[in-house]
Amino acid sequence: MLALSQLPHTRAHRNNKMAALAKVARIVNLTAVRRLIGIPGTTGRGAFITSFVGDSLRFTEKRIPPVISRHLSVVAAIEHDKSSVRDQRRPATTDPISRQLQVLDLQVQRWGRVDNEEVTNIIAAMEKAGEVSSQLTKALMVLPCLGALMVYKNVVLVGEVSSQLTTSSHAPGVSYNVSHYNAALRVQLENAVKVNAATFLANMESNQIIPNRITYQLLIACYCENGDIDGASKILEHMKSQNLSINEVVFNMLIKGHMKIGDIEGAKSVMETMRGSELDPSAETYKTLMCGYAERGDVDSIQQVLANAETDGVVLHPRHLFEVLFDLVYHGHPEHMSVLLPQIRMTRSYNQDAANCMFRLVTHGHDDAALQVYLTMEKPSSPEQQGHLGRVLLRNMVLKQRPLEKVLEFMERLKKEGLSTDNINMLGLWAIKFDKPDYTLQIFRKMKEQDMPVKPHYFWPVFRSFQASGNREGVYEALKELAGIVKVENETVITLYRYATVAMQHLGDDVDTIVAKLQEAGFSEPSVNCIRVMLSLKEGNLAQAANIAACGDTFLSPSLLKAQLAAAYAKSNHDAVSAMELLRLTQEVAGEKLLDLNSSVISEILQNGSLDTQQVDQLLDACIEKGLHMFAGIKAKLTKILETHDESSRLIEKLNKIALMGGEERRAMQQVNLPAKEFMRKSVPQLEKMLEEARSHNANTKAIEKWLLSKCCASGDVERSNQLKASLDSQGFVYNAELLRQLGYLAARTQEDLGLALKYKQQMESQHPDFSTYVSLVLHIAQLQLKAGAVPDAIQTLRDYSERHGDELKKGGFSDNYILADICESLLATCREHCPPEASTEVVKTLFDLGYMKRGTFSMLTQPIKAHIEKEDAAGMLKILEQTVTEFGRAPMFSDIFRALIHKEDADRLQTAVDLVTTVHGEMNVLLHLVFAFIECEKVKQAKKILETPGLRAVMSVLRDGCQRFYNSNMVKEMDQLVDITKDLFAIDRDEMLFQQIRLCAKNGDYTKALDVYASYEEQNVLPRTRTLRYLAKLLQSHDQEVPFEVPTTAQTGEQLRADSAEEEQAIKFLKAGDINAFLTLKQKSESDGAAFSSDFLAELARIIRGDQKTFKMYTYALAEAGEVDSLLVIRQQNLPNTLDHFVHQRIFNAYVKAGRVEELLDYLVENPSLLHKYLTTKGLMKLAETQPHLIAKVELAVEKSNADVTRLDVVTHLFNYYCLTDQMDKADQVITKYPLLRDQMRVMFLCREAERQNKEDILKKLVDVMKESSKRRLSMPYSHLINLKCRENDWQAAMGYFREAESNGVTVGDMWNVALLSLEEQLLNNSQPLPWKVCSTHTGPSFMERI
Amino acid sequence: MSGNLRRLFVGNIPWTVSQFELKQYFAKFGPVRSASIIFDDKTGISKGYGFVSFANRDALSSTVNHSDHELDGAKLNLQAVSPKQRNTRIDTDE
Repeated sequence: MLALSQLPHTRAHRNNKMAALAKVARIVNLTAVRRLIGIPGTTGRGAFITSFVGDSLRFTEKRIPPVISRHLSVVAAIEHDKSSVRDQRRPATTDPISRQLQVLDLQVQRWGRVDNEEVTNIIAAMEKAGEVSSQLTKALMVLPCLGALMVYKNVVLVGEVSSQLTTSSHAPGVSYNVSHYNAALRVQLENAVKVNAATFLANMESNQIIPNRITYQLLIACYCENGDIDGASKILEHMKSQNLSINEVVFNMLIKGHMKIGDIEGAKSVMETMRGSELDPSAETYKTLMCGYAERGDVDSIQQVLANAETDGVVLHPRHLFEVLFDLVYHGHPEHMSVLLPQIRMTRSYNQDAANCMFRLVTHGHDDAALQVYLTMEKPSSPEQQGHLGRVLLRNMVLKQRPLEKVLEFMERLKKEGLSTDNINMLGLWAIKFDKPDYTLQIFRKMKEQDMPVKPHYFWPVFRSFQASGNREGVYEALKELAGIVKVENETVITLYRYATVAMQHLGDDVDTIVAKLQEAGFSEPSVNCIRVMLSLKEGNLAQAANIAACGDTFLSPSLLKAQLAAAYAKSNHDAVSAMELLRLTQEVAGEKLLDLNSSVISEILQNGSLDTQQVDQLLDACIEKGLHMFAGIKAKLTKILETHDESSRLIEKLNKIALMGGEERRAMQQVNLPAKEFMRKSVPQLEKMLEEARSHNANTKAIEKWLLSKCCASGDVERSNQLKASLDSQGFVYNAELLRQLGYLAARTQEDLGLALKYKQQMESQHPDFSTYVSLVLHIAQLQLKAGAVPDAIQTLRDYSERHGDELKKGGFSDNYILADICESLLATCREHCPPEASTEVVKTLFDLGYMKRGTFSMLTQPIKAHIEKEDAAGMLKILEQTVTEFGRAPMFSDIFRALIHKEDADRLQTAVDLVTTVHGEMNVLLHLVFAFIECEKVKQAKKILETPGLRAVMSVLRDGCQRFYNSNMVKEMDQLVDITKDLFAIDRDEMLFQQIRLCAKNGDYTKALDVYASYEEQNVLPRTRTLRYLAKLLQSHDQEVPFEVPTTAQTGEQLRADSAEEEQAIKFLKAGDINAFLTLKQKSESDGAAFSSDFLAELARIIRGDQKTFKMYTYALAEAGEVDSLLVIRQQNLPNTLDHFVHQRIFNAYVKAGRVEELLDYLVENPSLLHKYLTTKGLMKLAETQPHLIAKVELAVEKSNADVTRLDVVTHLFNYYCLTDQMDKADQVITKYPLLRDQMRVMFLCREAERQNKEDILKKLVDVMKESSKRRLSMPYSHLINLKCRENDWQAAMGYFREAESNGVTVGDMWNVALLSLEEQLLNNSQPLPWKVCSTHTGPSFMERI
Repeated sequence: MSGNLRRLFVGNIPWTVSQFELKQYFAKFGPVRSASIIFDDKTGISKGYGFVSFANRDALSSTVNHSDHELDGAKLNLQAVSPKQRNTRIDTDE
């Protein structure tokens, strides 16, 4: 209910935001689109950029709509928070460490920063987990987070963290690769740790790891960081000699190096060199230069660089300038901030970048600068949120435990600006949540000064926190604070007992110390005594507790006693008198009867069950003696317990004295009928059965019949419905609204009887005017009317309902009208078929206006649009688009329209189309689709310009769709361009984009390119997800390439399966539905497409369907048939139940055979013969013999070795079966001779069946021979099969012969297999032969004969 | 004697409110048998929700019928805890 009522609100809310977004984006975009189209490809690049960038910079300078624009990015943050994270990736794993890592990953994607607590938590968790080698992959994933992403960092912490990591990483037997070294190097670099390049390289070399381009780049950075240009140059020379490409990153570092040593000319000359090598200085370059100036506080030069950048047409993002700003403040020039701040562009990412800068400033103690940055951030305009805006800064200051006075000063300031409505309470909550107990106490003190209430429970987290950190002094400190506040006695003692004393005892204080400390802190006598009582109780010393309590000045807390007394009683060896005395004293102190307390304690004691009769007696006596009473309500329950004792009547009598004679017991009315829910769950057959039973008892069956009728109507069973209705009518049943609806529904949908349906509808409407949930009945009736061509009638029907129950249509339940979409569509189809074309429009309009249908499926609308696109009729396209948009709020095929218009270079119309579609899909989606369209039409520059629209952010679901489109159509160039130009898009999930690029490489088998893409992960400092690594590894392996990284397996990371592609998604769907065949077709198809499922994926699929044993077996069987050894090996490790485990082992054998790799397995089994029984099956052996008969020898060898353990006969049985079935009787004989136990213990069922199936009489005879001495029951088996075999051949004499032979060998008819006897009987009767047994007429079926 | 019928879930309780204050507040509407706020046992921090049991059904209904409940500046979310929510709608085509 709650969710439903909130739904429209949030939607409306979002719509407002989107409208605001649209407004802003349009201001820039209208001109942009027109301009883009106006000069298609004819103008040179530079000119174009200047014109556009000039435009947008001007926009920034003027800051035309600062309010809206500010609003924008906060909206972005909020929206992003809500939606796109959801559509990106949900942490879905069971392993806590992996989960934390995923959270970390998400943080990086969303905010561009990580929380140092997260990182330290993960490291702590890894340390706890202990096994370094298994955690290593994870540890290395954390490494990159320790660098620039940690805006909250302080150097000491990072140093600790990274050294922790690196030390725990240095585990033996762990393989490193070059990217691990690079990551470590980057961390040290970003944390200003000095690195000696020579030692680092030597270290790498000693571990036989070859440095790559990134390593050298980082080393250059290290030298430059220290201003060692010579060192950097040496590395640069080396890179050149190795023919490694030298990119912009390297130049930027060199500039940095020059700036470090104050060599401005040198820096400038590097820039010249860059230009000379046809590398244009980028935003990063300018930033580096400016940071250099910032260190010296040279704000004029910074201004100059900014101007240069503008003339060069380079767009500087907020993050660049915020870095400069940070450097200014950090190096002691905060006075220049005000010059730089207004020059930062208000783009989408402004708030995030400003926040990152602000947090760094707070971390380094520059509070005032942080406040200044904060005040420039964009704030939403809605007044309800205003009051919380200041929290982002204040919270952070609390987190960093900045001086409280400063925080309060800022809070006041923000209050005046209308940015905060919080008071000091809030600071307290944050301090608690951030686990800063000392700081929390400071805040409490301040609160007291300001006459704010400080309540005992505020101290709970403080005590817990000090306890956890082992800070005894902290606990005492908190005690003093607690004693100094005005309080409610009960709450104080609860705090003292549950929190303070727990902490003190945990830290090793004994009872005397605790009491002394409490007194010292200044707690009142009654409180301290209460704690003494409770501590005695805790030890089970009831007598002592009662003594202290009796001494007069003691407070007794009912809630504490309630929780403790029963347990103390048990511990005290059933000291009933003291326990009851305590209860009595508590009532005395409270001055009232505490029935609740008494009832709860006494019933808990009695229910514990371990009391003997004497103890119960004592307890009840003590109760009576102390004059205690209980609620009458629990008497019944306790009586039951007392009944189990001897002399129960005496005990119960006592109980009656204690339990107050309350009002009458209220028993829950026993429901004769099943609740409606129960009926609803029953299926038709179940209900029929219930009905039958009820009738046989002559019970009232109306309820069952009613439900049955309802169900039959829904399933369209006309005949049964009529029967039931007749029966109900005869009983004078009054139909309720639901049933009338059901009957009407049956009439309209199944019987297609308009008159009848209308009759029911009218009856329902007149009898139950308030009943409203019958929309689909209305639609079905309207459909019937349309079918009859009666358009006005149909429309009237729809109107009628809307007039009666319009609210129902508007109600939340139908807001996503997909439930009705199918019926509406079928109704429209009927209309198209049976009515004139105008009618369709009218009906659609009616459905739409009345709210039957909202943004449902309008698939029919695509058809005319398609026709116009094919005709290249731009005007027509727009006309129909306009119509669908304005009338139905839909914009089908808009991408196709965009492309068509771009091809036609029709700027005006494209603009109109964009505007139209925007009203439907919102600015973000439309702009991104426009980007795709431009790329596809080979107009990348225009696409790039669109991406620079302020306020635009990545909507990953849309981008993924775009990638998927390029993937499907194999548009390599387009994909590359898309991935490249979206690099700086706000909120982009880089891993996803690069992964899509890799996927396309894989599709084309281009592994070299895929490796290039992988390198760009490192360069861009993007963390590849495990699925990406696995995917890439698979690609490389399939091309026999070495994988340059450790491949994480799903088992290691504990991830849950996520589909990476549409195919995988489908595979999951098929298997979940148990449709193995569809899955296999899909698998084959994807293999022939060159995108085979990875073995990891296949193994994970098994995990999904494990609950469904049948599908699981079919699935693993299919895998074995496909020779998927690797997948099966992983599945084997999934902790399967025994039966499945065995099954999977056997499949593994078969898979090895199928894959032609069985020799590996056999060699292993020869070494480990004790495992043989798990793998071996007769069928497996047969298959092996078919493909590689020479390997049977190895099996024989393994069997021989395995039989050291003689009880393992199943292995030998398989071998025996195999020999028999392949006509090697002599070998079979040898087996029997060698293992005589087989005669009595071999399982023969399988062989018998197989032999009979293959008509191999000799095998069966052999079995008879082998088992002659065995039990008759066993011997009956080959005989039965022999008889059956002969009967199948219609040879009754031979069959009879075997029957007699069996008899003569002592096998009785009763032992034999019924099926064989039945066949024999049939044969004998057909041939008019007497039966060798008596027929017993009363039985039917296979057990029809009376056994002799 | 199903006490559940008189039980109330209370959400959005600010951390500053103690169990005693919660009980006091709801006692305005009728006799309260017990009131509790759920605290995280490990950290001692309030989880922001709790339960109130009334001594009779009238107290519960008068509480629920009262439209706005506010404590320490926060609007409370109330929801009667019923033993089983009966769903009487027939499952049909809709």
